[in-house]
Amino acid sequence: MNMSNKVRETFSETIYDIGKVDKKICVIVSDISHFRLQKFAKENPGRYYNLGVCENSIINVAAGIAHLGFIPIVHTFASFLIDKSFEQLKLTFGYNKLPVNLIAIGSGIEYSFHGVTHHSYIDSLLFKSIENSSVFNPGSTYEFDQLFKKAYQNGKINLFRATTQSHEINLSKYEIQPGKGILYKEGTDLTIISTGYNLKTAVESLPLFKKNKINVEIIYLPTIKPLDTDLIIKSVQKTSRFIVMEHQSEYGGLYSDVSSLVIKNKNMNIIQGRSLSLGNNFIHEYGTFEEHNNRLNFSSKGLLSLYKDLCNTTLLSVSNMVKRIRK
Amino acid sequence: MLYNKDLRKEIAWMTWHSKEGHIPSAYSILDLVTFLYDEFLNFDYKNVKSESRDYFILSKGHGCSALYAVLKKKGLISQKDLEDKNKEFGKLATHPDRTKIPGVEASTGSLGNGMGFALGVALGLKIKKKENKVIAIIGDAESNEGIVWECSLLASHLKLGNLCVILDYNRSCDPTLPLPDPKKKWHSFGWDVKEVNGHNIPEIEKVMNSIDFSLNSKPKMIVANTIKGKGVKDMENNYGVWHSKVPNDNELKKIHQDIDEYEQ
Repeated sequence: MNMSNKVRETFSETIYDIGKVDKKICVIVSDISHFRLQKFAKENPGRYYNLGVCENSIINVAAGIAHLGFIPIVHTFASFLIDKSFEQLKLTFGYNKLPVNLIAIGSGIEYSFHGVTHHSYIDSLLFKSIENSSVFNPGSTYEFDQLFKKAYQNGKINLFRATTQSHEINLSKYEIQPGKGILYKEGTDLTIISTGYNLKTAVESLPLFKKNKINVEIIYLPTIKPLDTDLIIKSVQKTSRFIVMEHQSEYGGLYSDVSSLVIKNKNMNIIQGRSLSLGNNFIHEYGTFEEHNNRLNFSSKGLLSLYKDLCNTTLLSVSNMVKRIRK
Repeated sequence: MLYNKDLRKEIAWMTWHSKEGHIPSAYSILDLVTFLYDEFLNFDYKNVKSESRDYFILSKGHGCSALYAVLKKKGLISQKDLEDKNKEFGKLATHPDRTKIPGVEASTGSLGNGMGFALGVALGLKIKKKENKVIAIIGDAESNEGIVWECSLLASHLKLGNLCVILDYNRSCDPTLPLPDPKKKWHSFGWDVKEVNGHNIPEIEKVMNSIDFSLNSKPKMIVANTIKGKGVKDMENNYGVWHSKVPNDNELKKIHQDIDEYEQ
């Protein structure tokens, strides 16, 4: 396995491994990663295509190939693969009940210099709305390799985000399973729910929280859909407060899923949650990914500030409840 | 002469009975679809998933009443299915659903997507080095969609000689966004292009049987000159009004009568 932890740079190794044993996979790219995939292409003649920049048609062509019994793998930018091609994904794969594996780069704001056209704030929330879909957001090569090999032939329409931004945390002691999260650190006062790169920010915030005598629990989700509901429920029942971190729109993202889960659960006490997300705004600024994160409060200070806001809200809620009872 | 008079009557009846459908679009492609299933496609009606079958994809899904009538003739759809068309738990609706109807390869309705699906099937067969044929029908208004032209570029690039797309050239988009000189267009995209009268079965047979489906040849475009509403003069002359109109009891009788009395 390539030593880089950036999935964008290493996913082709996983594809190559699978290609050696599974002759059903067929890779189609939309004029990116062409050279990275040449090792696979050379050893699997007829099962690799660079079909140029016609993403909508590429999705339809991939569905036709799937109808013949192949397992298609389609790869390009999230904004073109998901946002631009949503109808084709919804109908030609979703409605037709055909399987596919999509490997997307540039989810969120990873390609910060490219500007809004190459950002995608909605790829996961669009995709997870399709019946029979799964969304994987691995933050390291190890996770991608485990998830892809375990899920690529599950008969579903799978989105794998191939990040250029690894969390750089060694998770090799954990078994990575599709649909399962990781309890990375136990705590009692706050649950931080992170996915992909954001595990890094969550872990980096621990000293600041400790300094403020706040015992944080960190849940890490390499799979966004299906959600590891048991892990989330158990944690927020304990801490009563959660913050969801995601480089996606606040509307319809992971925060919405967790909130919905909490509201539906009958055994919950008062739970308060906050979203650390991209809100509902286009990102017009340029600069590095790190500069974006600092400006958007994806930082230790940003997390602590949200926690304090949560505590104030909790106090207010309790105060209101007491007033209602006295009346 | 007018072919498929009984099927035309059945299409009018199913639209009248189910209270929705696109009769003129179905009449436009009916003779082509009938020829394909009667004479051309290698298709085992007792084993619709056979790996040796030819693939037919109706990309202009709103013409599906024609497909329903033909599949009923072949025993894949029952009279009860037609009677239940558009009912809550029926198999048939105004656009075809592959998860419900045996023999339907792709659920279509959003124009342009079926052509890409057909390309994928053709590419998959080519990867497997199989000689099954892939036939798709698209509309001229459907060709307003940009993905039709993406696919036209792709099919030629991939040398999908096992793919034949039939253009239902009924000129229904002339008042909005017309498609002038389709032969020249697809020829310039690198396709083998032929022209046919889409309502003349012997001529369709002659043209289709002349096609070379060898795997590495050019993809084929058949420009089928058709008439929207073919078989009912009032529909031919007023296809815009009749596009998705449901006939009332008297109109149904008149349609059946017109079909019986139709002269060229």
